[in-house]
Amino acid sequence: MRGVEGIERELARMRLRSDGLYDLRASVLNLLVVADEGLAGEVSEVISRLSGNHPSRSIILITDSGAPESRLDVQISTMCNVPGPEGRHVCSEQITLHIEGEPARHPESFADPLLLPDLPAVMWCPGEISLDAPGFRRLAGMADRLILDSATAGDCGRAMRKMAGFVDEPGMPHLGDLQWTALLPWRSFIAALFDPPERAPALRELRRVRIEHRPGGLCRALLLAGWLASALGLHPESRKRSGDAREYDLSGGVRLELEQLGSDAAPPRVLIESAGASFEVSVGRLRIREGSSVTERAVRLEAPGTGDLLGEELTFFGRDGAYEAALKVAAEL
Amino acid sequence: MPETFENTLRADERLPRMPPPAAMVIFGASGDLTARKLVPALYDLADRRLLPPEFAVVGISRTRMSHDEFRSRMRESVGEFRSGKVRDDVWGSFARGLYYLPLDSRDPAAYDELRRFLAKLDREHHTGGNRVFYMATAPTLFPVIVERLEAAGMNEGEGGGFARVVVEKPFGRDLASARELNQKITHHFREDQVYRIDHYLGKETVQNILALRFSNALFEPVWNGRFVDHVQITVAESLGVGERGAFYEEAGALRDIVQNHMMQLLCLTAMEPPVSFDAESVREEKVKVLRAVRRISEEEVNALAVRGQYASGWVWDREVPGYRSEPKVAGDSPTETFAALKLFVDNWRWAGVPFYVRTGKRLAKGATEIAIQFRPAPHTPFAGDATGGLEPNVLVIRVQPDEGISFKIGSKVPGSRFRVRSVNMDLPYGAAFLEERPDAYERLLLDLMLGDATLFIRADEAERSWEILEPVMRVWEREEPEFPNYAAGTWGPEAADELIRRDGRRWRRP
Ligand SMILES: NC(=O)c1ccc[n+]([C@@H]2O[C@H](COP(=O)([O-])OP(=O)(O)OC[C@H]3O[C@@H](n4cnc5c(N)ncnc54)[C@H](OP(=O)(O)O)[C@@H]3O)[C@@H](O)[C@H]2O)c1
Repeated sequence: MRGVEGIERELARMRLRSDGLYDLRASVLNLLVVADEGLAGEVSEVISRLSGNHPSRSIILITDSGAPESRLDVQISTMCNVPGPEGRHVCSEQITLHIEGEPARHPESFADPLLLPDLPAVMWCPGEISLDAPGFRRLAGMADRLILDSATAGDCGRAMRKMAGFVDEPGMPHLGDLQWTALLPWRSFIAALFDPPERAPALRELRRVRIEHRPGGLCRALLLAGWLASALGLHPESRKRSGDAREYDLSGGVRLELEQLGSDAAPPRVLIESAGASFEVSVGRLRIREGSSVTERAVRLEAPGTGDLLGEELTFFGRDGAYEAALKVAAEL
Repeated sequence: MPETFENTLRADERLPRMPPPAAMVIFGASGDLTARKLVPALYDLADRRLLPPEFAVVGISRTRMSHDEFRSRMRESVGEFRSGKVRDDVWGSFARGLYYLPLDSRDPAAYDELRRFLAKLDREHHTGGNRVFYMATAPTLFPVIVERLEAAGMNEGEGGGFARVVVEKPFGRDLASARELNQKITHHFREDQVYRIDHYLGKETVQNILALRFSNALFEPVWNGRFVDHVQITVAESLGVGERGAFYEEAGALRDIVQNHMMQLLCLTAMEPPVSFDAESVREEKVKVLRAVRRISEEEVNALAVRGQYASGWVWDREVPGYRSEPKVAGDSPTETFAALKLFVDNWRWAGVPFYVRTGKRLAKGATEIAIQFRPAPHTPFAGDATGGLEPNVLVIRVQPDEGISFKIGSKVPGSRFRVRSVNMDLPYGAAFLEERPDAYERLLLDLMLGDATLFIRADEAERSWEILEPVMRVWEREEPEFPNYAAGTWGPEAADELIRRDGRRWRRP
């Protein structure tokens, strides 16, 4: 397709109805997605489901800079939802660019002219990316927020360290991580457990925190540990590793244990133990022992899907202080 | 118990607003409001993970039931009165904290039993001495309940916890009874412990009026009498009274809609920007509007107020009966189903700008809107015949259905001649988000547990609203109405048109 004007004209034409009026375009943000061919299908599906609650212009860049020949292929579509009894159409736009060869090394020259003015730009990278690649940095510099998924990284510890460094770099967007977003129900639930004042001692006299995670869940577990430690003002003093188990001595005499479960079937679990009480939270159950009394009940902490996680991230703007603090501790673990 | 404890895990701005642990006592637990609104809203909060893990509900009414019978009754209501499936796991953990005590709210001994029960919940559910007392029962019982609560020492939370009372509408039926009720309640609880609930303010669409006005610098400079010719506020229903005849006979349009919903819309439209969005700042500005509303003398009532009652007529494809033929309505009922008023807000901003407000049942369609009619442009440089179809600007805030704004602006007609005419620009901003909005009760229950009274009615707000309407009610009581005076499916009585036509204006068609 012809350049930027051609794309804009075509998008407007797609909103033109048979009665000569235009369907409305509603947008609250620009969503810039960088992915490779393998993820293209999933990305498109997630975005079309998001359009109802986060009407936006999505610009999806599928790049392959290793391809021998230069090629640009443009696909555009509008998604019109029909809310309310009167069935008015509200449309979101999706522009997908397949870029191969030399041009794929400077994706920013495609993204810049397509971004809608006056609206924030959120960049989402569903796959593993290299934060150091120059093309990536120029692109990221255009965004207000960058959303990654640390679980796609081959080496979680390394990813945490890179991301912790990125957070402080001037000129770079605020960072978000879907693994952190997935912890939101856990953080909210665990924080609320310690709202009753009579449980204050349990936090002050913390002895042990144990996190059991699924094989792919190390990043999430590190962030959860980072969150608890940073919120309670603790930091790692020594570490030990044997196989899939990690053990740390935190300041204040607290022991932290991370252990990988044998399979995906077992539910992730967090154990928080003090002298007088213990709190055991897993995906489906809560077990509290306080003195000699034990209570158990059902809770609901299953992780939402990628679409919901991304949707949650899109409602947040600015700097996520609690995340950055957790990330910094996680990077030291 | 340690008095200063800060849960540092909470220092995370992205965590949802979750209230502290608490026990909610519902007086009137076997009643309609509990089944249709309160428990379903609490369940939805639990489902959204917005209720604290340590939370309990104690239902009270005279009907004999065990805890389990109450639970299964509530489970049925939750299935019936909200859309969407009830999740077993969510219900299970919510119902764990659901209790019922068969007690008579008039019986002093009942309150000792309640107090003991709440102490037990503090131990077993860690509800921390925090209590919310919800009056979902006949208004005549409110004074008795607050008095007994104080007598039993429950007007303060236990061990430093909080105690709040929630009072349902109606807040009296005239100024005297509203004052009396407020005095009785505040004799036993401080005003800052009292939450008067008008679910209208819990609606997202109503709150959006504030967002539109105070987050857009564009509107505020022209939001005054220098630019605005007049304001029209309409709350129109196409429905009749249906099954609520008995209730409506006692109320009428003035009490049912004007005193609360209409006055709230007037306040939100006319108020000054509050310094902050906290309860005192917002409510203070609203009360200032009510204080500025010009007093109507009894002599002026017939010139400034119109009432109506529907006769039979056609609404859409159905012929519907007149009000006096509705079930549980007197054959010669003098109750008004329509009211229109011309009000003035005598302050610097609004001096001389009339606010025409109207509400009615069985009107041509259901619509709630606020229309700001601007003055004509002071001078048009175009030749007289060039501006034939041009009318002054109108900004309409549509509250329902299809929440949004529309704006009428002048625009050039394409062609070689210079001709301008009015074009309606429609922006259904509500439609930009398909996200399901929380029910009004959900929002308000959460706010009240969090101790945020911004969206609740302050005593003086309720009283001042009654005071404005007092002369109208007196004259209408005294004088025999000529009812019915409008056909169902029309826009109300002829006299309402006359009320505004006299000023050289006319009602908009919403
Ligand atoms: N329903 C609504 O949609 C709605 C909307 C807005 C405002 N409101 C207001 O909410 C309040 C309740 O309305 P409602 O429709 O739920 O009324 P309702 O169905 O008549 O319920 C009244 C409740 O009060 C209980 N009760 C009456 N006398 C009692 C006593 N001496 N001791 C203990 N309990 C007693 C009744 O139970 P027992 O007979 O078992 O004792 C029943 O549970 C009213 O103020 C109403 O104006 C209701």
